[in-house]
Amino acid sequence: MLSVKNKENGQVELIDLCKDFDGSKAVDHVNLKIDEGAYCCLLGPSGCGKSTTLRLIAGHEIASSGQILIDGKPTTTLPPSARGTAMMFQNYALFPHLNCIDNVAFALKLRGVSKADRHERALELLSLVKMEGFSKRMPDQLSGGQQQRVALARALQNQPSVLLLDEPLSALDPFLRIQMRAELRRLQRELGITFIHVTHSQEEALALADQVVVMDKARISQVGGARDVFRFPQNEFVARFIGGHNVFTGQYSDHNEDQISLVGANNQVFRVQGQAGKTPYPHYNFSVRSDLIEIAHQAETVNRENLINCEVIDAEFHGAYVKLNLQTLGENTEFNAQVSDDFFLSEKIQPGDQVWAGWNSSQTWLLHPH
Amino acid sequence: MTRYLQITPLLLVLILFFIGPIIVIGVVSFWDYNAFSLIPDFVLTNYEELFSSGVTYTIYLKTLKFTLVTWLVTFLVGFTVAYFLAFHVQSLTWQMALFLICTIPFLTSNIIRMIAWIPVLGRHGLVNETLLGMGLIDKPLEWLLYSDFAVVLAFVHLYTLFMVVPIFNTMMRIDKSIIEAAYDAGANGWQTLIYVVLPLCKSGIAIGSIFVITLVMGDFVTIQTMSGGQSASVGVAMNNKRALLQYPAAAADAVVLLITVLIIVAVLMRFVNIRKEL
Repeated sequence: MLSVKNKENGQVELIDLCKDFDGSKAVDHVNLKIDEGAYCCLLGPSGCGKSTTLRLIAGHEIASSGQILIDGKPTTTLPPSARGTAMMFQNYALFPHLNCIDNVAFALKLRGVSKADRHERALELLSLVKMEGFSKRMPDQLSGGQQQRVALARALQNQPSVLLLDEPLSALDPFLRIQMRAELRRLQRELGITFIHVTHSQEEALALADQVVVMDKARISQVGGARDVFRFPQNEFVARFIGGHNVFTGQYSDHNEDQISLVGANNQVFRVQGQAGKTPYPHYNFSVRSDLIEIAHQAETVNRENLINCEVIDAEFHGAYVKLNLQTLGENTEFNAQVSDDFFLSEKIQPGDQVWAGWNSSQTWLLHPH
Repeated sequence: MTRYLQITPLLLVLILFFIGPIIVIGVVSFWDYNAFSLIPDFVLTNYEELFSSGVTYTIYLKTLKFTLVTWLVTFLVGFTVAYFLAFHVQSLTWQMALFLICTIPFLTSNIIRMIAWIPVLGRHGLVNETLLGMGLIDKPLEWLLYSDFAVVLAFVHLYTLFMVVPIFNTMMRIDKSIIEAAYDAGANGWQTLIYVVLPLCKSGIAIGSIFVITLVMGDFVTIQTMSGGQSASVGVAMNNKRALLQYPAAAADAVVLLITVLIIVAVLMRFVNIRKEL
């Protein structure tokens, strides 16, 4: 068995981590614990601080304040190679003057390992990523996907306990992206080391991660398992960013044990599951997943607790389903609903139609009040 | 048809002022001459005299020595300056400002910049007076001016920028993440320089070397002025023959020098992909 795995397991802990760039905060008091052997995705829009967080863990930036612990050891100011981490760069950053095998063997060359030994070891790593047949090729003779595999092999050379991947799939075409995604996941399971993967694609994060960290404006918005983050977004930002959610706002009118009644701008009453607390807020936001919304031309056919009348603005064909872009009548709130393609065809839904959208209160999710 | 018309002006200029003169030099190198006139002929005596004279080999050796020392110093200084500009100066504004400062001396002529060294290095020059005043020496240093040292110093001053510019150019194209990847793999600063930066600057170094080597190999003004006429080079020898109206001999000298430099350039071109650099 190839000894890629480090003795340590790659538990990463960020304590009150901050990074300032000329007065602007790139990372603002981030606290995070990543379990050993976990696949963790840092997810967020560009400029949210996810890449800087990764570079702080890697040691390519030094934190302004706070601490980084890797396997319990403080590594905040150590050089990159002393941390037990390895980084895979966004553009792969292969050494353009070295062929594949020398790229992978670079770290060993630095340590004075003989050419035969380091090539043998590099070839093992290349075969791990199925690139052993390309060992003599130069980086510019390889496709993007092939370069990425070589970069992966090179990153594993120093037996890292934590592999840091900076938007590894963003430069690949969509088909290859999905293929490489599966391969990253397989490799992470095989090696048993911690992967920290920065991405702006929620789809990628949901497909890969054991732990999703959603970041916004240099702070962490939510941490949780992929399914939890998708089903139970904590705030409006996460609900919107993770996709597939519609966010509605309503004025508080009444509540009981496990439901709150809200009034929308069009005097529409919404029933939302959740507790209002002792002193209710004046406004609440809630989300409804677009795949749970029922659509019909007649109100009577929708047997749901919440019903709103809306107009179809647009219909987008996605293959198995059709995404309807809807606008509530009067108050002009836009939202989406997914209906099956068959339903879309049999109901003859056209842009411009007035339809009813409905959902049960159990399908709503209360977002943190603002 | 219009394509050919479009390149005609440039072609005419090149034929008239570049290819033409070279052909003339080549033809004249086979002519005969006496003390008063040139005799159109086809003789090999000019070349025979050149290759049979021990002086030729001595001055070629001397010229190559000047070239080698100048190349080495301009490379070390040029690489260091380029490295500082490309990797240590973080802001683009400062990078450009410092780069422009490097080029400012080039707004004056070569000759002026060279002659400016004379009051600095002379017997009663700035350096000697200062050292005497400080009591570090008790009589002026003779080797400062009119010496091989002065020649190399002037060459370095004149030509270092020709090394800085192409190396800086290749360095600026090195992706910063490649340097980070080297650190990530465990390389220290020195290892990164030797194993990553230096190989990636290969073409810039080759281009800078071509500039410096061709300039120094063909020089006669700097060597004559700064050595006070005590050092010879191929260029100086050629200029002397020209002054004695021995044009065919000087032409033969020029042809041999041209071939020598072309061979050196051809070797250097093996290290550089010119198409990629342009």
